Amino acid sequence: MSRVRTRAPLWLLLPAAVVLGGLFLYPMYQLGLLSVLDFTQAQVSGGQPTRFVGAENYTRLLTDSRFWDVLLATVLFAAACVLATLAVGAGLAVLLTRVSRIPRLMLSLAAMAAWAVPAVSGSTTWMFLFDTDLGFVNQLFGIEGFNWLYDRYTAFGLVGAVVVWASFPFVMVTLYAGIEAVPKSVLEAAALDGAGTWRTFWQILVPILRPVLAIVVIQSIIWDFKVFTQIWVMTRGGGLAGQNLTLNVYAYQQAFASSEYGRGAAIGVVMMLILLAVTVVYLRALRRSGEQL
Amino acid sequence: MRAGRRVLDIVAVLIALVTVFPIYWMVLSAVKPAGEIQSLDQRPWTLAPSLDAFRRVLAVNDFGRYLLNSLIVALVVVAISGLIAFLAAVALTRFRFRFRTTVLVTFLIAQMVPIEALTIPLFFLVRDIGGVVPGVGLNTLGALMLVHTAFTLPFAIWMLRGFVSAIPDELDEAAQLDGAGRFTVLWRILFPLVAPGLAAVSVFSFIHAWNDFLFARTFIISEADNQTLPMALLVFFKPDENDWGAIMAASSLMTVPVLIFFLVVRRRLVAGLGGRSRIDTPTSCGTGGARHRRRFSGRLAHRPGPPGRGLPAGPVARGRGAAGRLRRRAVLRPADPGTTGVAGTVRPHRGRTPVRVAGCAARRGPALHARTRCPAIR
Repeated sequence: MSRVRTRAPLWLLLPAAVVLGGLFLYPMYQLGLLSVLDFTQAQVSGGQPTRFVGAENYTRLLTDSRFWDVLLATVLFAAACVLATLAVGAGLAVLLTRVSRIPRLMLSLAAMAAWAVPAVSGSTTWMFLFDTDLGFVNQLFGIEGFNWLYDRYTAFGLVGAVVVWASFPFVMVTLYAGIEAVPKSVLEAAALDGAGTWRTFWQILVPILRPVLAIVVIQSIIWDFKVFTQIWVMTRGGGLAGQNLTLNVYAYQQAFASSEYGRGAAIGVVMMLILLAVTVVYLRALRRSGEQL
Repeated sequence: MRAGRRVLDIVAVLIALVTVFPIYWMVLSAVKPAGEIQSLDQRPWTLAPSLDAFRRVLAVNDFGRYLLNSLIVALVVVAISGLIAFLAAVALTRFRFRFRTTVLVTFLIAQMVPIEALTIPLFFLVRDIGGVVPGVGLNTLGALMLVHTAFTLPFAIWMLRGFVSAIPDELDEAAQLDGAGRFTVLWRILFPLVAPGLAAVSVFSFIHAWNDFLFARTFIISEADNQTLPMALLVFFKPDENDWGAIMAASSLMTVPVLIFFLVVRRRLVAGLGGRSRIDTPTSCGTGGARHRRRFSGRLAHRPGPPGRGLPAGPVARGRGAAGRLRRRAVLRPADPGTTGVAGTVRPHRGRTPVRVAGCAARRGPALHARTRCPAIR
């Protein structure tokens, strides 16, 4: 189509703009608005007028030790998941380059299968595997009467395992494609110079793959920071006494369980700001990798 | 060396088995008879498979209905978001206009927005819309279709962009020279060529809508008939005793369709990811995305090359009908007769991986990769 000045792109973009404007931008504006209102069940049902409270939701949030506790848990949980996902994904990507055809096919098919499993059914399956009495894992290792989801750390660990299980395939596949694209001559030269596997990985592959790595890391951070379904399903909405809450679940719970919509919105805004910061880093990584938009 | 490889092979197979074990366990538990499920001595096999659990799930709890609901929502989302994304992707790749980059970055940022945080305003939005338009309020499938269309859109556009830009401009120009209007170019030329890419995008949209738990939970509050699979599945969790047989059967029903879908199109998925995470960045992974895209986008066998370097860069003529004719013409126009049968490596353009251009591949047909077809040019 022509490159002359025309209104055609506007018409083509219009449907997308309408949908995204109505269901992305407007709700984002509303989220910001709700976060500065006193908006609870009374206002929803129209019993009381909506009141502008300024930064009150935020100040209450920031002085609440619970919030800081949840924030810390979220960051640590996401960090652990990202690290584990990357370690497993990168390790298996390197492994894939060194095995014969059949094992490679098996491993990539298995990873694809894990990738495809919906979060809800993945969670339920792992819950059954780790069930107190009927779980295969407890029976296999002879652990009696131990409920993995009662303890805060084992519960987080189990949820993290499901998250890693479902997200390492993306890292593996992406990095494997990257490694395969590295010119063989570079690796041969390294081998001739006497570099071992470990050294080749850290000093040749990692620097060459840095742009891809950056993207994989940031994508993982964004995904793992937003984990919702697994936590909600496995810990029944945040665990005993909310010990397994993350920011996402906390916001949801505040809004829809406690009807503190304004407060929930404020948590949502905080989360959005954190992810926005990560996104800016992502965009800069893209630009540095020579991406032309 | 040999032994080392054997060890690594075994390790890889073991990891594959561990990875796939939960899925095996899910399906196995779904077909285990009730007695074995409640046994304190679970065995990783069953000698008496039974479909009791499935029967319980489908008959007693009307799971078929939820399956259908999920399917309807997902298919509608796929259709609408695919269409809108196609139009937007064309606008973003075929035209240069002001704020183009801004629009692109907006779509990228939109992918990062924690949609979970938007549930709160969206809940009120959907409630208010429901007052005006009856079909899309709370407790309706329409509400789910609406939000999922919006949330799959940024990624779909971002991914389709790669597929559209892989179609050479010469095609559009040839069509326009032949007097095709803009609409004809869009539907008769671009749409058929992007169809394989659209299929890849559809899988992502489908899975997104199919897997969604959050919005189903938020919007479908009281209308049990309009529930979708993920919520319906949680019915089997009971405070006193979970019906694990039914849970696993329901999980299998939810997983297996997606699993088959995913495995069938897996290569295209990987190729499509190139559009999102830019696997095909110059330094490295590029070929992963680009090569797959070229190889698996079916009829489109375009070998990109830098303009003005002497070698023809264009699609290979193929296909019937108007699009095919135009495609043939597009090839013929820029090509110089002398290049047929010439094989060579195009120098990297902006640091891209060298692209091999093979005349002979062009003559014999595009479906085969230049390198596999013409070993001579290796």
